[in-house]
Amino acid sequence: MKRFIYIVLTLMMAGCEVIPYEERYQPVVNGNSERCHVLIEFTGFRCVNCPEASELAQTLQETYEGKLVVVSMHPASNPFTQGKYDYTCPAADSIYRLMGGDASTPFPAGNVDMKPFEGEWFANSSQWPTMVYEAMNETDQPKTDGLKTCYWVVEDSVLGVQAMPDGSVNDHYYHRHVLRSACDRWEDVQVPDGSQYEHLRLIKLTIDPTNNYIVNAYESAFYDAGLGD
Amino acid sequence: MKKRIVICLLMLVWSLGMQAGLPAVTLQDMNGKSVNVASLAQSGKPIVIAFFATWCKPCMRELKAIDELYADWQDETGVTVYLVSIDQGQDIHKVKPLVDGNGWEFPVLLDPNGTLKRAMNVQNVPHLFVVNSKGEIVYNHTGYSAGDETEIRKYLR
Amino acid sequence: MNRRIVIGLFSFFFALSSIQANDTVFVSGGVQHDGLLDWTPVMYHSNSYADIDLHWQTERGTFRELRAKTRLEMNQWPMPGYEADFAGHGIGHLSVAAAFTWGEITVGDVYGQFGSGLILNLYEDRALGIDGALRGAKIAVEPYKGIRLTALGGKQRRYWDCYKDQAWGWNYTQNAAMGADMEIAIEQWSERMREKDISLSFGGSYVSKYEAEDTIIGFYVDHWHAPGMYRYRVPRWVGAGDVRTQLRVKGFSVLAEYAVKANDPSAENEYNYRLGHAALLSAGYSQKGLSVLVQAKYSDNMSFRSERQRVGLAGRLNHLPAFAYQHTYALAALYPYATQYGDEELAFQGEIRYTAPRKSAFGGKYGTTIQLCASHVRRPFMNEQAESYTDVHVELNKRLSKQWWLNAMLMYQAYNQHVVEGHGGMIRSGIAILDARYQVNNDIGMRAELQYLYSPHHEGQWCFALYELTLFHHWTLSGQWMYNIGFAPDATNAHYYTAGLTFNYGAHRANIGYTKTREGFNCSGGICRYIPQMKGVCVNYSFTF
Repeated sequence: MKRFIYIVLTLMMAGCEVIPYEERYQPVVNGNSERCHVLIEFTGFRCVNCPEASELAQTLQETYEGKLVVVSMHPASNPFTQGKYDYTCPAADSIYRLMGGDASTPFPAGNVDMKPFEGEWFANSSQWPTMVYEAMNETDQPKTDGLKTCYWVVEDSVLGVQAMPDGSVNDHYYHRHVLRSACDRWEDVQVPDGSQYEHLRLIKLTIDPTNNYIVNAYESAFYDAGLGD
Repeated sequence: MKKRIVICLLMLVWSLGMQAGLPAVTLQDMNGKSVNVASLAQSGKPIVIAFFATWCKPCMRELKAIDELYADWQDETGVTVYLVSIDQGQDIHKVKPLVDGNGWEFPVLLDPNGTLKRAMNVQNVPHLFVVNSKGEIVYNHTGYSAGDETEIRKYLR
Repeated sequence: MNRRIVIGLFSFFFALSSIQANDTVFVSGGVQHDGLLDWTPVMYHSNSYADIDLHWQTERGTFRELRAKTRLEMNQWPMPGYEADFAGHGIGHLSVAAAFTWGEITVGDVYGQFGSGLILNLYEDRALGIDGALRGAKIAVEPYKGIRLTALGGKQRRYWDCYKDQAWGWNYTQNAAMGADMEIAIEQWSERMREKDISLSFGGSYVSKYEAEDTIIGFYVDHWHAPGMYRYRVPRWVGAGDVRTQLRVKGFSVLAEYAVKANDPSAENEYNYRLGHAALLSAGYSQKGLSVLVQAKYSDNMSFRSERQRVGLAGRLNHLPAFAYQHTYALAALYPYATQYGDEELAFQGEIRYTAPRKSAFGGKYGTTIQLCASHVRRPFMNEQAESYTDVHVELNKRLSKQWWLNAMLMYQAYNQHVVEGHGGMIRSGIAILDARYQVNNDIGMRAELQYLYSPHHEGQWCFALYELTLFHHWTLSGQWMYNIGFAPDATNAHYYTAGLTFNYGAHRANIGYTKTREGFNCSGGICRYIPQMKGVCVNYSFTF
């Protein structure tokens, strides 16, 4: 009986680690990746936590200037995108469903380079900085041959409606980098209907066809890419 | 290896024929005393084990109906009705006020861990078991509709 | 490996049971199947469970019973509303328990609750798809009269993750949890206390969870840190402790409990390093026919999970049920409350219950029960929008005659939709419910419910009607209809209905019906699971043996 108590007490002493204030936050050195990575943000106009996640994605993009491309996808399969306003596109929905997304996936959900993170395809926004950091600090060399190209057309500053965290509805919200279309060939890239030319951007992706992971990305404005009005 | 499997299957079939009894699970009653459920069946009288929860309305209907007939049942058969509450967490403190407030005199056992619930495979409440004087479970029933208490009376032997 | 365990158990049983003739060996178990057939697109969703228990009872020395339990689950295409990872099939539970006169030892999947569950409450709730068992071992002993010790440890189950791991869930290198609890009942040592019907008990418990180091990067800024990306150093061991005391003197009882949790940065609490606190105070008086209870609870940052990066229903080590009355009437449960683990919360609850005896003035011929309950939850230290939930209701239960029973309830409810669901405003509503039962004769009985909800907010006014006909003890026909009358900004004017036939024979219960249910929250024990709108033919079957 006494021995039982002693064992329990010893185990209890071992079972608590308190991190003092000075050691909690350690500055990180941002990795210098040779490749450009893509953060895909699954969002919807009815999702109240998405504006904050969008701000987080913006901060990440500024921190990794030039090395991180952010794309917002509004998949039609999820109830957060359904309603009177439509920012969806078929490409967003097919990518969403390919990754296993369905009507019950909580938003905001994020994914980096179309790769699973610790076994999960969709990550909570609190994990996005970790995912991007790990992508930037990746040491294994990607494939260099047998890759295919894919083009995504993204529109920035789309004026629309968004449910905000305080419960209100903002009808002058600018949706950032909304995916408008995707195609495999340069010749198929067109200006989407109803879009503002000066806000359009083209993202050229290099994809590994065996697992559909994004190997590299290059983002440029439509004008700079030589695509006419 | 095959012989072992056959022996085990035969044993399983044989044991299926045996009447189920009450498991030897220890629960606490409302005064904090430990009670071994299997020993309740050894009194030589029939007993009834009624699972309930404070939030379950059909359970309240069932227990009120049993309460009206309890005095008669006790005189005729010597039965004791034990209530087992599956309320969890801080809801265990609501059990005694509920039982006393309704004027019930049944002994109550608390099963916040769900140990007895799982050992007797109770999924939904109300769930009622009748154990005869030999300690075997002779009747078990989920749900409550009016008139069920007269069914129970038939098994109290 | 599982097959070997099962076969080993069977052989052990056979070998030993053939030695003593007066041992009892029996099998018990249950089968449960819930299905929904919907046709847009055509799909049959179902949740099926089969439990099998082997019991061997004997009286050798102090050994009393050996129980082996397994549960098979077939949830590959589950009912709508469960988390994506819930889908799967296989052996969901496997355990062997040995009961002695001095205690019980369990190996395999174990459950447990310490005190009021503030730091440890592992349980199973099939309606929500929660199974918080630890795969390890548990020992509960009563070494001396009045002292109860419990210790358990293992790795918490999260849906089917154990199947992805080579060690079938017995791998403790990634994460594990362990806990110990002691409860001392002083009155067991004092004859005088027992004579005066006084009982005093003290309890204390400690739970600790281990999780391997993780890379966690986030943006952080405070007085000493410039804004930027930081790596958070997370504790591998997180400990939580709980102390409690309970005093009972005749009909009075007082309980005080306090729990504290060490730094536990996780995705759910936005990686903060604050301590978590919970305090519970409960006082009541009860005697036959009358009971009074008042309770108060404070909780702050008490989300205690086995994996720090996971959010969702699975993986909680503790359980703080909603500190409010759990309603089962449809309109009273339209806006249910669930404890917000992340926020600071202060809650009060009180209830008075009185049963007037038969043949008294208020009681009438058969007795009357009246109860008044109130609960209030708020977020302290918030200047506005502090109220999270309020519920005040009075319920009257009376048997009017040999054939008529009546239950009537009037309720006021305030529900802060923004706190619970993340959007919306304050919804205040008044609800009136009438529930009458009429027993035509011994074989035919019927029950009807009429409910009305008035609210100027959200979806506005609702009405609900239910009718149930019970025939010959075994058959029940039921129909219910819910309609959103509206007159409010978000009114839908939608109709929701369910009609069904239930057959109940002994331990069997089968139900078939057609249902169109509103999207909402299915709450059980204060945890709510969001269910999308469902429409289709529902089939339910359960059997216990």
